[in-house]
Amino acid sequence: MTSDIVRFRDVKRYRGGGERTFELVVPELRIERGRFVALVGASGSGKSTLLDLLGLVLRPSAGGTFLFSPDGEGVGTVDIVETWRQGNDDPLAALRRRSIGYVLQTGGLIPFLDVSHNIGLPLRLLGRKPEGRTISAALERLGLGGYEEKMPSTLSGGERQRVAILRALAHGPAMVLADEPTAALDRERARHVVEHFRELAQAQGTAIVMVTHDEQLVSGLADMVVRFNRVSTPDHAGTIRYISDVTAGDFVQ
Amino acid sequence: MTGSTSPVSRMEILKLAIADLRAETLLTFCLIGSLAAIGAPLLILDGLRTGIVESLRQDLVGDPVFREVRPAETRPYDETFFAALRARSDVDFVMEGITRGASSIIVSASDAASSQARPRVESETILDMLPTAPGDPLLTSYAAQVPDAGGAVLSAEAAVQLKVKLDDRLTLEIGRQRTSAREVETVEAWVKGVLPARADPLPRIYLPFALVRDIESYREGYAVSERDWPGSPPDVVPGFDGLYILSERPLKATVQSRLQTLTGFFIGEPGEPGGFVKRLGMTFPEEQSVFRLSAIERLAGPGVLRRVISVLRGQNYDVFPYVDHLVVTIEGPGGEMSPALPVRTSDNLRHLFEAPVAEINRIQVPADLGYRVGETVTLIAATDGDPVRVPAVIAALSENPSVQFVELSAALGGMLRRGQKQRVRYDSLTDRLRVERTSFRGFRLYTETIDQVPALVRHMQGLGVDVVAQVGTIERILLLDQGLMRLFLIIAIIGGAGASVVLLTSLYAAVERKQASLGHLRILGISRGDIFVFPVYQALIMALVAVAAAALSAHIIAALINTFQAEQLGLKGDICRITLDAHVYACLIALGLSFTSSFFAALRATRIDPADAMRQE
Repeated sequence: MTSDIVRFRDVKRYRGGGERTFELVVPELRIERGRFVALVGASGSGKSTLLDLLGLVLRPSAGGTFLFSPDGEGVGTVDIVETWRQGNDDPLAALRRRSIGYVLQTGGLIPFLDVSHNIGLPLRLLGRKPEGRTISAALERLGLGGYEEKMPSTLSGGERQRVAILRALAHGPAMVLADEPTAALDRERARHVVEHFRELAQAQGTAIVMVTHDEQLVSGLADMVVRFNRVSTPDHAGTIRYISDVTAGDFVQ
Repeated sequence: MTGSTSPVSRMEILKLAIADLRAETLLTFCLIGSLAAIGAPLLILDGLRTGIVESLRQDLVGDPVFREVRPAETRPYDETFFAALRARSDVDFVMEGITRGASSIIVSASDAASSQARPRVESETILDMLPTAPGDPLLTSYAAQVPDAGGAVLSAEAAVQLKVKLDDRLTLEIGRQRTSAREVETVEAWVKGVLPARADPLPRIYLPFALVRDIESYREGYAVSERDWPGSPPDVVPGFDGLYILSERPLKATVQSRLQTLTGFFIGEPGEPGGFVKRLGMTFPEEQSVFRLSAIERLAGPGVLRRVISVLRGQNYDVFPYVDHLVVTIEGPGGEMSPALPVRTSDNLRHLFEAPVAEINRIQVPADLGYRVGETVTLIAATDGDPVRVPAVIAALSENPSVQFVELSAALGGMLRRGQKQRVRYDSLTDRLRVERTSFRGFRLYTETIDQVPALVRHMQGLGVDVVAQVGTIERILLLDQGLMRLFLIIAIIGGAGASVVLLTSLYAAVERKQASLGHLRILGISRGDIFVFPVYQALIMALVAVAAAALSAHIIAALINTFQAEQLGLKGDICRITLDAHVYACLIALGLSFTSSFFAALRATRIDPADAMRQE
């Protein structure tokens, strides 16, 4: 049986051209439902590129396989490489709003919507009505009770990230992508946020893919760690090539 | 989970667009304010254009003087003419009239207090008389009641000249000249209204139609039995296009000039043989001096001939009046018709007045028509109405087949010539040609609105009826309207361009500024097509709010202008009138301009790469 949401095989992404080229090669990557995947590496190693590919906002270079099965079990699988090739943004946008949640470095909250509307936005974009009580309860659980009508600009970094996490999970996506979500927080707080995040995701069977440069932050939490190894390219002097390397995480129940 | 892949509802995009505008209250209001600052003056300008033109128009619309179409010439207008006009929807009022100018009557004011016993004449003046009837817009709109029998309405000038006021008594003196005797009848009338000078600047008296018609009939010699005025249908007076004077010696220059100046209607010149032979059918008398006097426009009647003869008194001369443009058809005893033949006249001056037809109806016709001398035929000549049929006796036959004409006595020729300008009838009982009274010599006409005047004038001119109307004044206002409209359009285009630039740059800058937020929305699953409408919606919303704000402030300013400025300008009504149409146009134009102005911003929004937004705040 397979509950893979994402299956990568030989997915490549080139960036730049001429003298210097950046290459990311992902020989194999499978993300299962409910798993916590950490993308770890120094800056410029390609972890953000992989996140963008997973987030359906960056087009993979030709070749390779990228299958997206938001419902798991191989149902409704979408060939992402082919969809990108067709050049129509609509099906990708539809997948993004239905099946993926995003937590960006400083939250990525919409500045002109208050907390409650930010959290309800993914549901509304799907044509569903967010329930005020559910949102309030979720805020309460994260220690943000009474924050419903606050504007993002009035929140602290940690508060913002917690709201962003609630928003990312609000519509029950198959996968949440988080790009250094705790970069702006001190370690203790960051650890706290990540733990919260993981609990919430697991409760609704959502996979989390989190980019971090700080492996300690996710140690003991990640089911799977993806690292990025620079390989030498003797025939192409100007090319920087990274190959991803998947290892089992050290998560201990 | 399985979710729908239906597109994001446009309502959600609209809500987001509104939320964005609300979050940036100050910026939004600045932009709306600058748009409204362009829109409000434009609305006021258009309101002023509409208002000023409308109040100028209202002045005219409310003033029947500008709705009047007057006859420019005196000619007969028959019943069908009036019936056709009454059937027209653009004609508010039309009634039969009389000859303008030839309708003066002497009016005197009599002291009402000392009335019956010894009317003391206060003042006397000659007034132009006009008929009126119920519904007369000139009288009713100037709040003068339409006079019934025994009533009269005076123009301001007439009232001043007569020194009378409402309910004063007037005496109307109607005179006529008949067979050299002056006859006078009088009628009494009470002043029922005085028109302001604006309605009628001339000294005029408005009388009920029946009275005016009776006065005109009486003047023309008819009896008016209802008023016990005597008379009979007038005879037709001969009219001539000119005359030839034959004399042994050439006329002296002084006589020639007296002939022209004293008789009035004549051009005098030496007669030349061609015209002489053609007109009179006589050989040109080489041994005599021939002088021709010709009439201009009007025909020369017996009075003119009498004056000519008196000028020539003491000289040895012959006078031959002639007619031009007259043709007759001869109907034989068996009903056979001749072709239309030109008429020549021969001298028969003895019978120019009151002559029975039997004394003047001996004619000469071409021999080849086949009539015998002494035979009685019927002469048929065209008149202003039906053709007139006059019995005639063949007195001579002309043998010259090259010249086909009918020779009539000067009296009969002159009468038939006159008949072309009047409606005449042969009365077999008295054996005379009588003037028949069936048509009217004028009319009074008012259209429903001033806008109909130019079209009606064209219609009348198309019928060959020469008319006068205040078309110039009306068209000047139309021109002013067009001119103001053009000016307004120029200003509106400049304003619209300015508003477009403001919107275009502001919206573009806003998209540029909000790249991150818009990118986030893209990441959250708003497609490129949906992000396109985001700035478009914002532009449309701001345009509508700006129009509303502009309209509100324009109405306030318009109210101030109407309260404080209208009086100073001396215009009636609101001089700044912002119409419903103006609002609708303002909305449509604002929506159109904002839509096009938002296009570049919208295009810019679609180019935002969500991947860039992943790492941007």
